[in-house]
Amino acid sequence: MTDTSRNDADLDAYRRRVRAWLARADIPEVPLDLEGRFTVLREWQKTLYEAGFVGIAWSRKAGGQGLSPLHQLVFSEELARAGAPQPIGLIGVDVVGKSIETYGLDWQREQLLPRLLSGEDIWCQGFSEPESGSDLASLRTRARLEGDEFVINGQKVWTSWAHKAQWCALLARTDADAPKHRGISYLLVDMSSPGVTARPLVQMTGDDEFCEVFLEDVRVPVRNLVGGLHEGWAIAQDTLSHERGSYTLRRRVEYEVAVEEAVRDIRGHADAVGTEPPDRVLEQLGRSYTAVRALEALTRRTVRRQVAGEIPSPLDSVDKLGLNEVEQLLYASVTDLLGPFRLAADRAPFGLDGPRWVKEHYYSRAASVYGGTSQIQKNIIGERLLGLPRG
Amino acid sequence: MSDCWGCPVADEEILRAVGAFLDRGYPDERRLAALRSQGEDRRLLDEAAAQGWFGLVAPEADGGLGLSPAALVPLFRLFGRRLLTGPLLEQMLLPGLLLSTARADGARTRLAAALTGRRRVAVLDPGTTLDWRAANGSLTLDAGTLAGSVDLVRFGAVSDLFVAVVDGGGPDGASAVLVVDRDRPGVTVTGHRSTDPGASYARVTLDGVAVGPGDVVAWREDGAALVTALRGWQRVLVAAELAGIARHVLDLSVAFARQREQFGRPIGSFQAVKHIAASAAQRVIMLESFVEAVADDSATLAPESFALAALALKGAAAEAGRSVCEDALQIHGGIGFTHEHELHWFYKRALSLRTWYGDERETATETGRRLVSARV
Repeated sequence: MTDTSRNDADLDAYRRRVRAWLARADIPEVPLDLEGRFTVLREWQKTLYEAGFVGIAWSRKAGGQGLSPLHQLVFSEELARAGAPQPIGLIGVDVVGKSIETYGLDWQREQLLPRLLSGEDIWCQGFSEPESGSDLASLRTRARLEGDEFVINGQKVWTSWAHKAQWCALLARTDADAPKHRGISYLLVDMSSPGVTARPLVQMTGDDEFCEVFLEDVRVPVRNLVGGLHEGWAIAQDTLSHERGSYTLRRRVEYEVAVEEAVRDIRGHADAVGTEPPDRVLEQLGRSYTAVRALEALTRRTVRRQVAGEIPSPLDSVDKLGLNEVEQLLYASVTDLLGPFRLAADRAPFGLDGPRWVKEHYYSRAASVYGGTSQIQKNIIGERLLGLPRG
Repeated sequence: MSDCWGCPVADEEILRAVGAFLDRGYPDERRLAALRSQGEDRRLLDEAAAQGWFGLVAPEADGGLGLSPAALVPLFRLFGRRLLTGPLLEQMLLPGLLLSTARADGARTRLAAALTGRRRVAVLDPGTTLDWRAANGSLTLDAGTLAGSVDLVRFGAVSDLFVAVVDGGGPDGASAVLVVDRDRPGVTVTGHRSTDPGASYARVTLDGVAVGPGDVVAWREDGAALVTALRGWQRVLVAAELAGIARHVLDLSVAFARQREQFGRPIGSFQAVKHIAASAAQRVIMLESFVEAVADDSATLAPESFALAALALKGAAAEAGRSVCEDALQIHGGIGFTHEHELHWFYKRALSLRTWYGDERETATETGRRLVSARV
């Protein structure tokens, strides 16, 4: 595990504090089934929040601790090192909430964000639609202004945790006549509102983490608008930037833990059988380690950008592309080592936990799709970072 | 983007000075002449010595600046971008690093002569390759006699001071680093034909060369530690050079894709081309970050951990260096395949550096081995 910013007295002291707290904490066992996992991790989020470890880099006004993104990263590293799980409400904490903190009204920040951080409210992100995936700005869900309410009709899809969520950050078209990027508004929708239906979709992994969301005459007060009317696209970009940059920071810590687990298991097996693993195993392991290490180096730049306030940036897309390539390389490389024994996972080839790697490998295939496909990221890098002309 | 993010001010000044010298005194014709003669440019060595390049990492007691080899990282990135070739690794890293360890006067005097460019250094290290190591020879030390050979010695034919790496080949498996004059009896040097435009290579055979305490730089634990450091830093600096090469060919490709038109518009507007450039940019940025991170960490990592970081970095650089050059060739189309364009020199240089101290497959296997055997 790599430690962020060695030789910084303040961060070192913070790290010691986190470590001491985690050493005393009652770290939960995470059940395999989604329902059980959700319940346990939500409770864990509450515990972390009460100890001041959720929203570390958020302002105090929004229920955070007012510390730097480096403190947040130190905490994520220590959490992983302690073998403790992440809190459940990451879409709120890492992605949507940060946009509300930046662009939201005072009441939104003060009333919604503390509950978001504590896990009392789970958030989802209503962006993609059946006909609007990569071309997100073509979305058709309509929000019609009627007095002091919006009336929303439409459908969202790939909405993670919608069936468990209390709130949704939703993009809806409020001006059908304007050019597509200029007629979109960013609305906060109470998921218990009449007319909201969330239907879970079972993923390749077997989990039903994401959903279709149907909206029929859903009434949302005007004060739930974030930013200006028809000006939601810029805020959506901010949210996506968090999904690309901040999320990469958190995931890379999980990859480091995964590599360490693979190393430990393969070493244990090698010791038990008394021979060094074949070169192929060593090579795949070394390749995975190298990739994760390179990603860790990249995220140091992400943190510097966050500290300097240089987000959103096309470099977020570099992070996301880095994340998906490293994640897919890591899980494919290790899963490959199961060989045909993925078919008889109880054999634990080379000491590896077969079902765990197979599931993670399935999940890794989503990485080049969610938060903007790798092709969309490459368009952004090509046009906004390299200055190549639009097609 | 700065090549020297977070560098101490002194390092940034050095980078600026070296950059200014190259702008002023190293035109394209001169670079091309060096590439056509495998990095031979005697005047460059004199100029570099006069400007103190070779003393940057040497101890202050020896007239050096006493900087960490990490201070060389931005310079090697610059050398990669400018395709500056020659025995820069050999002259800028080795004498300084060795002088920091060497105690014997005889060894110190000869290494100090390299700081002024009066002596040219080459390293006899069978460990420049991992998978081909058995074919690269080995050195043994027994009762004051150095024997064996190393097949791939960079600048071996044009150097007069050899750094011999005895990696576990001493009595009881001890390691040692020694310096041997080329004119010592028993030393034979045979040049190879090489495909590297930036360096020449030779086989050096030591046929019972008598050595004494004055030739020893480091011995036993110190010897093993020096071998680890010497390999680690060469890996880091080669990776830095590859990062510079990758950055330059990416910049060339982006400029070309913006200007070259087909079907009535710039080829960079086509996604098929744009995505090659974007993917290459992502790999270049990751490699640059990796180089910076390992340089930053070098001061605090334990020696074995630094060696592992350097090994992983070298593998990443080998892979990205080659693939980014190949993407650049593809974006340039036919012209990149010709001597009308400079691209092929960068590619050939990248392919050469890719293998030096391990390509991505060799380093991955070795990384995995060290992880599993918990030598870190």
